[in-house]
Amino acid sequence: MNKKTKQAFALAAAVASLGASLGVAYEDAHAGVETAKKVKADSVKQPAKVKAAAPTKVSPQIKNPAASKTSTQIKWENKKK
Amino acid sequence: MRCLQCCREKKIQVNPYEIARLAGNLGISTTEFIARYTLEQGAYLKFNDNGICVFLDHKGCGVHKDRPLVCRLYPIGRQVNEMGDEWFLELQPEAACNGRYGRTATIEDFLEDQGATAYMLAADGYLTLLWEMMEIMDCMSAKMEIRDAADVSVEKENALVEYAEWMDMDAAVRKYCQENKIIFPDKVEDKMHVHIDALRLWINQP
Ligand code: SF4
Repeated sequence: MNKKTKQAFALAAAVASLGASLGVAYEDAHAGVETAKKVKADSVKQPAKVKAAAPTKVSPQIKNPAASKTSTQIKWENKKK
Repeated sequence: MRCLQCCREKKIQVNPYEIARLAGNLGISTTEFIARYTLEQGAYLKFNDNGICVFLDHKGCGVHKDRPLVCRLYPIGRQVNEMGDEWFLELQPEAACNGRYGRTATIEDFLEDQGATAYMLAADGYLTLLWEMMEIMDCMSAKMEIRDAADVSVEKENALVEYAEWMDMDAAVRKYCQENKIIFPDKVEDKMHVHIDALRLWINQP
């Protein structure tokens, strides 16, 4: 068995699973999140004045893995189809 | 009155640190926790047939003290990119939400109040490793040969077993400690640091 190939598969599985556990690599979901207002981290000491982007509800659905290098840490929607 | 709407119809992502905290709360190993309470090899918490989180009971969250980061953050969310830039997102509350939302507190106060800091640090530690894994994978896939499909599926299966052991914090740390003759750490934070070291060594093996 080719050790490199085995290593590549294990790594791919680790990236997919660790990525999912950290909210990484889900392009569609990421797009959903863009509808929410963002607050830059350096303003965390300011009272949160932003309002959510009404009336659009942020409903990120997990769909296609993609090579996005952003971690999104939210409670994802999991509506039954 | 609490409605607990935010624990229904949600996918709760859990990284290895969060799994270790939850397993500790239940007094079981991360190996057992992953098998009993998670989906997709430990990426998400299980939910029941009605879409309700496996830890929600009539009194509320059954693991409140050790609940995952996304549960601590709700109704806000957090984004971090590869450069370490960080944003916070304000999510729309559930339609039937009974929560009361103030506008005078700061996000910093909220995070502290929710005990989110240790969880954000842990997520950032695993994220740094994930970016490294993605880089290595990019280089590897460019070099990988095209193989016979049957051969590939056997290799894939073996690789998945190996990978599952490495992502399971207790199993990976135990193996690493035995091989390097170091004492198995007690504290979850210490175990996490050893786990990240072990994973880093694994992904960089020649
Ligand atoms: S872990 Fe607790 S707070 Fe989080 S979704 Fe489950 S029951 Fe709700």
